[in-house]
Amino acid sequence: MARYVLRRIVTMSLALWLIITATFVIMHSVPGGPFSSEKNAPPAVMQNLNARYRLNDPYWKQYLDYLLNMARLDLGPSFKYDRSVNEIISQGFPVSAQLGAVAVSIALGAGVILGVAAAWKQNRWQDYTAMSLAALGFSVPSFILSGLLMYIFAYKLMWLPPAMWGGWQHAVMPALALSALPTAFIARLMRSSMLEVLQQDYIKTARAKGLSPAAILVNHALKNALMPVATYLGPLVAAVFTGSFVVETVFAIPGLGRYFVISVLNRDYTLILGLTVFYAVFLMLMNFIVDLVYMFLDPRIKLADDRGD
Amino acid sequence: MQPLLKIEDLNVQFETRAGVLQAVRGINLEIGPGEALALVGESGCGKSAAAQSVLKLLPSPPARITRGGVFFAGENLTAMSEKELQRVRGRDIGFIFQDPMTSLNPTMKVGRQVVEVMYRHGEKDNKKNRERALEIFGLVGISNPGRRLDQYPHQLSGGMRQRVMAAIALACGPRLLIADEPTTAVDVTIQAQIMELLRDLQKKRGMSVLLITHDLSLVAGFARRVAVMYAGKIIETGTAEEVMNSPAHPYTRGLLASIPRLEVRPEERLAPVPGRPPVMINPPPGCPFRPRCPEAMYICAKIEPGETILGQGRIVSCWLAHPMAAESRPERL
Ligand SMILES: Nc1ncnc2c1ncn2[C@@H]1O[C@H](COP(=O)(O)OP(=O)(O)OP(=O)(O)O)[C@@H](O)[C@H]1O
Ligand SMILES: [Mg+2]
Repeated sequence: MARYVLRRIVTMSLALWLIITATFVIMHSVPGGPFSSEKNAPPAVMQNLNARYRLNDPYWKQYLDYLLNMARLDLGPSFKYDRSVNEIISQGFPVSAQLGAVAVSIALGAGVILGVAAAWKQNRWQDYTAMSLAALGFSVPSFILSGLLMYIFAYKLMWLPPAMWGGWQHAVMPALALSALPTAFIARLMRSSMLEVLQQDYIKTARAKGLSPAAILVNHALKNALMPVATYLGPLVAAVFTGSFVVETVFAIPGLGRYFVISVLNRDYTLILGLTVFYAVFLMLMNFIVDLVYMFLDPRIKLADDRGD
Repeated sequence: MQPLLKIEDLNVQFETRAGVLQAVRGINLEIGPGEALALVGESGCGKSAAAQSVLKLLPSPPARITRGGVFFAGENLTAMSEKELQRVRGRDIGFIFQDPMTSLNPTMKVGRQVVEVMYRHGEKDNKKNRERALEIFGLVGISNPGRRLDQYPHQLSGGMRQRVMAAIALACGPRLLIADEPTTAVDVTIQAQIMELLRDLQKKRGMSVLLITHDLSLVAGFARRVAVMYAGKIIETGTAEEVMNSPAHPYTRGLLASIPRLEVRPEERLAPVPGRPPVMINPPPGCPFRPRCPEAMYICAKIEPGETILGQGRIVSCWLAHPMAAESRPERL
């Protein structure tokens, strides 16, 4: 186990280094710089700014400095905001992550239920209903869904606050809006994997034992059918927990999502890099956790080779 | 004596994209209490379809029992509701499937897979069930049963898994065991051991067994009676001696001629008679074996032969056995 974890850490670090390097190169090859919007600033001011943020250093030096700071977990100051990248992330991420946790829970619960129902009643009304809902979840853009939710629950029914961040009431609508797409995806994934499992030989064995359909579903089909969903959960959690530009903007939520877009628009080099690194680390961490969950789900997968005889 | 299992004019078809496939076309079988019967035939002749129809295990669609029925201890299984059938499955009738590699749930410990069937059919004390599973593991020849109970299928060899399958099938002390090619997927030495085990259990427990196999060599010494199946029909029945010593159907003769000797590689056993069995979607008229039959006659292409009774429990479906066959000999194709 320890060896496995160590190996994973080494490969993750390597991947991270590649990501940093690639982002660095791409970022600097895009025309414009962080201060190019302040076009009418006097040359002296530009000179000062560039010096303060060390933009006059050769690229290789900027790159090395960045790597060194990274090693100290210092992502540097933002070019645009009066805060460090570390601060921006530590303020925005908890909000986005809370919202994301609710959204992923909804998606997982609803997606699995819809998918199982669809597979269990294949080609019957339950299947058609579930898959129509999934198609809807796929095709309605989140800003439309957000607007619709706002109109119904905040404006018409007045059950929920229309925007901002506070108690759980503030999380309901944005979480629903965020969960639509993953719910649809999980429902489809679950349906197809369930259908596949249901025609396995061991399901027939279970039937030959005299088990009831419910017992077969719960004891034999569900766990095995969940495996593909578990795989999808890594990237899903990474994407949803780091926030959504659209949903956070519509609901005025002080999360991390909007920075991903704004930092690029601003050519805010350190923020772009910082967010990319943060996202990559988080994604790799989630995938690592998924692998551990997988091991729990599937006894055939073992870290060390402790095969029985 | 009333037979324990009686299959009456059973017809099973699959609705496929290419058309309706007639997998089982009116078979009749009887198995008495404590009796072992072997159902023999090539791959694809409908053995599994027939066996699984006994407990209505085939997925429907595409499978459908279109005619006939199955009676177990006088009760009509075919007419039973799904709920009633669930009480029979695993308790009165145990089932061993063809492929032990895929027939066990890969993510459940094998012990639990055995305990589960006992729990389902009455005993709710899983401590007792576990002890009983331990006993059964010993009975089916699983070494070190205490440890095996907590292993997963992938940690067991093919032979061991088939023994686990047997343990599941036997867990509730069924009156009938249906073993669908229990030895096809394991190698030859294991094959002998498993046959030995089945024979032993059948004798000791007085259990009825329906053994399904494509290998006639397994039949001798195991089953008292044999039914040979071809293209969804039973084309010859009799005692093992009758069928093995004086086969009446050319197909049976072909099967017998190909009984593996040691020097024959296993894969050559699968096609004993030259040619392939027909796919029974809109089959042409006549005897389905005719294209492969070395003794086919003019009539064989025209009309499918009916049953000719040769003696008590000795039936063959072949024009050669027809009383008038001698006269039609010159018409050979
Ligand atoms: N689910 C299915 N859908 C369509 N056709 C099927 C299905 N299952 C079996 N068949 C067809 O029914 C026929 C009989 O199949 P069956 O499985 O009973 O053969 P078998 O005698 O058991 O052969 P094997 O030795 O390969 O197990 C075959 O032609 C097969 O292709
Ligand atoms: Mg079969």
